[in-house]
Amino acid sequence: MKYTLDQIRDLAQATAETRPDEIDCDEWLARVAAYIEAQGAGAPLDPDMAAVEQHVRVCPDCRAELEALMRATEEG
Amino acid sequence: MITRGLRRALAGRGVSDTDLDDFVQESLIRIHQKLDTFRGDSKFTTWAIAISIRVALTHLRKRRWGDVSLEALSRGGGLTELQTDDSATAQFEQDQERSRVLRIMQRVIQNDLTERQRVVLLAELGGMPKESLAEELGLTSNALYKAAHDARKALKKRLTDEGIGENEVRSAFEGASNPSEASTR
Repeated sequence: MKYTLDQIRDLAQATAETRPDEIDCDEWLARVAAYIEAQGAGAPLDPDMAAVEQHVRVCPDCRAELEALMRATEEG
Repeated sequence: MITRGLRRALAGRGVSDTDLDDFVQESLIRIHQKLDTFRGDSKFTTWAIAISIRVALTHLRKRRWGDVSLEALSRGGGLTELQTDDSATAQFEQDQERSRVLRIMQRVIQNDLTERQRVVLLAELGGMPKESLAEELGLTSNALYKAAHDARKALKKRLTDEGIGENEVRSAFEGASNPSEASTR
């Protein structure tokens, strides 16, 4: 399989954002509802919430899910 | 509540009413199965919609991928190294720093990763859904994530050891995109 520039850029960027202690996709799912409500309320981010943000920088699937959840929970 | 949330979440993705009904039914089962993971730190509805979005997008990812197996993806040495397509090769030749990052990543993937880490990293990068990959490899989602995470940590360590920090990596790939996409922006 040969990779495009976009794919290699995504890998390089995810590598740059990698941290030794990351949460996985299941843990992210358990935390994301609280994260999005805290965001909506303008509350400061605690370390649990910061881990949610870090995860979407390395996981395109969860990033897409976060965007969908934001659309689903928008007012109006 | 789930139907309304999913309809908004999936707007613009061309999801039919039949699909939506199927996603809702499966979501209700999944929510029931996961009830003990609800921590009470958000509204129940927000949590339930997050679960239903995971269900729906997993289906859509698998549908988009089709039935391409890991074996088909691996054929001809496809998951042993980070090869660039012709267009990417030409782009890399024009940027020295970007090429250096690529060469280091290629070396790490070929020489330093375990076979599992290499296969998971390259198959996910190629677009294979995590759920399909986990099924084929017989791994839990947690084990799959760990393999990809360990691979990224190895890549980052080698880049750092070679004097390329995360800011340098970001900067090397700033503005990088496939030519056809760049021309439409």
